[in-house]
Parts: sequence; structure tokens; C-alpha cells
Amino acid sequence: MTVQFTIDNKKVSGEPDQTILDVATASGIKIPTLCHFAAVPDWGGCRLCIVEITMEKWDGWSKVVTSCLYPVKKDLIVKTNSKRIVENRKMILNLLMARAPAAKEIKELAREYGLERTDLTCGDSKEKCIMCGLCTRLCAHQGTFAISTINRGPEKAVGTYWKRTPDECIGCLVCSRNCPTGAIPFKETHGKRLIWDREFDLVKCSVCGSFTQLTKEQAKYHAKKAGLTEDYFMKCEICNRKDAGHKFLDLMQDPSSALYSDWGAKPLPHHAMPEPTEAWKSLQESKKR
Amino acid sequence: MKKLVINTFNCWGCKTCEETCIRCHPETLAEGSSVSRINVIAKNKHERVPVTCLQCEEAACVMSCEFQALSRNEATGAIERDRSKCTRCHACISACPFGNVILDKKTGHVYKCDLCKGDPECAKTCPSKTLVFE
Repeated sequence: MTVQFTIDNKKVSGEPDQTILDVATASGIKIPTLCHFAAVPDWGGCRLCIVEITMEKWDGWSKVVTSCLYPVKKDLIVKTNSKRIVENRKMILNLLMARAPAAKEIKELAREYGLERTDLTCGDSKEKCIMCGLCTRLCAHQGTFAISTINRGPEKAVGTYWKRTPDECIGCLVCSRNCPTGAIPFKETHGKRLIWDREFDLVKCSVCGSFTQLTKEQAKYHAKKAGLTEDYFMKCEICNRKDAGHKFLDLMQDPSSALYSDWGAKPLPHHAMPEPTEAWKSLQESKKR
Repeated sequence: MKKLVINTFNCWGCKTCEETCIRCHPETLAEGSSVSRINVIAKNKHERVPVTCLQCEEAACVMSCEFQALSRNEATGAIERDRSKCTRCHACISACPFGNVILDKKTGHVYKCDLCKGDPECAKTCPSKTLVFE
């Protein structure tokens, strides 16, 4: 049973288990977000997706909620860019800029709201982390649980348990690749990956010797999850593709294979390269001269 | 349901399919990626075959994705990647036994054949009738 309501005076509808942000995204209405990611549950950590909601029976009273968490309701009136929302978002970005002065993405977003620099006392000038928690939720969703939020109050940060090098980390880079401000650094050189102070070896292709995209720990993790041995991951995708192509061609040429008889294939003459024409030969000669 | 049929014996090895694939995905080009989701593998001078996603019934890529970013489009029968859910962990690249999930090393994004939403362009431009959508 669909729920009908309006966003910015536009009639929209959604399922009862959806949030305002889900329906807005599906209807092409843009609401800025930082810590939202479609694959993991929402957390409301960055507060940037706030919208102003009211209903006819509320007699003009309205409230500000995070659209990533608020469930859709019949006849809800949602405003994504009211004066109150724009002022609030400006303040949120002001605070985030003060917390993470090195985060370029925050500065760009703030500029869109008419804020060039923050007038609040800044934290560590090299800080990029806005404490949105997305990295921890991604790591948890994957089942590795290598990082989480640690400490309380002003000391609160994202880190590993007891600040030691994480044994649970598999070096998948999901936290780093999807951080909205690029706050998690990693280094990758010569088949080695360094993240969270831990060095990982990348899997080397057993056929061509190039490094694949997985670390040995990732291969172990996925092999265990799928009930396979780690040998499954010992070839790079280029060699896998080449071997698949060769295998298909062998099967198609093999008269005893089921594939051959199923397809009614006949041993066709090979496509030999045609003999070069006289014009081609003279063109080659003129090039040499 | 129509399937992309590959008549191996006809393949000229001209790679028109690869060029078509690169140019017929505007959303990919807009991201700065020019990758082909179909690749012609030549075993020797005489034997060539274009290899692309087989849209497996029990797909290894779907099973490997922890974030449910790969799923089947029931209308076209193809397995599609949901860009908003993909975390670029690259598990699917290593999971596919045929190496048909393509990585763009520059952006870290992955691409795979989605049958062009039910009307594959490579089948339209293949000059030797190797790729046929029927």
C-alpha cells in the first residue's frame, strides 16, 4: 500500500518501509548527504540531509528531521530547501569545517551555501574526518568489524580496537575508498598495501605474475565465506578471461564434446588471412622507401 | 527471454564489438572510463572468440558481493551493478571464474555487461554475425 505525500510541493509516493530520502532520490529530488550509502543502514551522523516537515493538522508548527531516517507518512509536507533548512545546513557545514579543516569536500559544499570560511575555532588543521561513521558501518556490514568509533567526547575518533594494528582487517580498502572526505589514507606500491598501520601482500597471479586487486587476507576471507580454497583467487582476471576464451575454443573444436554435438557444429575451414593484393604489396613497398 | 548468442566460428577478430561497447555507454564515459565489457580473445591466427559476461544462473559475482550491489534484472535477464551500492572492494573481479567483470584501474570502478538494458549494441554492429541477440 503506497504512502502519498509531497516534497517541495511535488506529489510523491513511497512504500511504508521507506524513508523520505529514499523517495526523494527515486523521484529525482536532490538532498545533500555525506554519511548516506545505499548498501548500509542509515545512521543520521552528518545531519546534512535535514528537511523541514509539517502536516496540515499541525497548525503551522514544523520540525526539522534527518530525511535518511524519517519514515514516510501519509499527507506529510516536506520542504528540502526552506529558509530554516538552508540556515541549519549552513551551520552544520560551518561546524564540520571547524572540525575537519583539511576536508576539501566540506569546503566545496559550504561554498554552495555561501560560506567561504568558518568563524569557529578550528581543530587539528590536518584533520579530514567528520565522524560520520560510514567507514565503520561498511566494515561491519562486510562482517570484518576491524574499525569502530573509539573514546568519548572530544577524544572520540574512528580507529581500531585499543588502537592496536587490527588483526580483523583484510585490507579491502572499502573504508578508505568510500570515505566522503578521503580521511583514511592508504599506500599501495610493488604488491604491498599499507592501511591502518598494517602491511598486506597483494595476491600475485600464478600465470602472469602481475598483482591482482585482492590482498592475501581478502582471498582467505572470501574463500572461507564461499567454501572454496584460496587457489580459486590465484589468477588475475585477464588470465581468467584468456583461459576461458581458450577453453571455449577448444570445446568448440573438439568433436567428442557435448557442446560440439549440441550446436551441430561442423569442422569449418579455418579463417586464414587472405593473400595480400598487388595494391597492398605496392603500398607496403612505397612505405619502406 | 532473448540471449546474446556467440557464433564463434564466424568471428573475424576485428574488435568492432569492443569499440562499440566503449562508445555506447554514455554514463561510463561521463565518469571518465573507457572500458569495453566484451573482449576478443585470440588463441592463434585462426581461432578467435569474443568473451563477455555469461549472465550465469548461479553467478559467482552476485554471491561474492557483500553489499548486494550485483543483482539480476528480471526484464532483461542480465546481472547489473547498482552503482550507489558498490563499494569498489573488487571481490567480484576475483570471483568471476571467466574474468568478465572489468576493472578501470584509474577510477577503481567495476563494469560488466548488462546487455545494454535489453538491446545489446555489439550485436547490432558485429559485421560477421558472430554476436546475435535472439
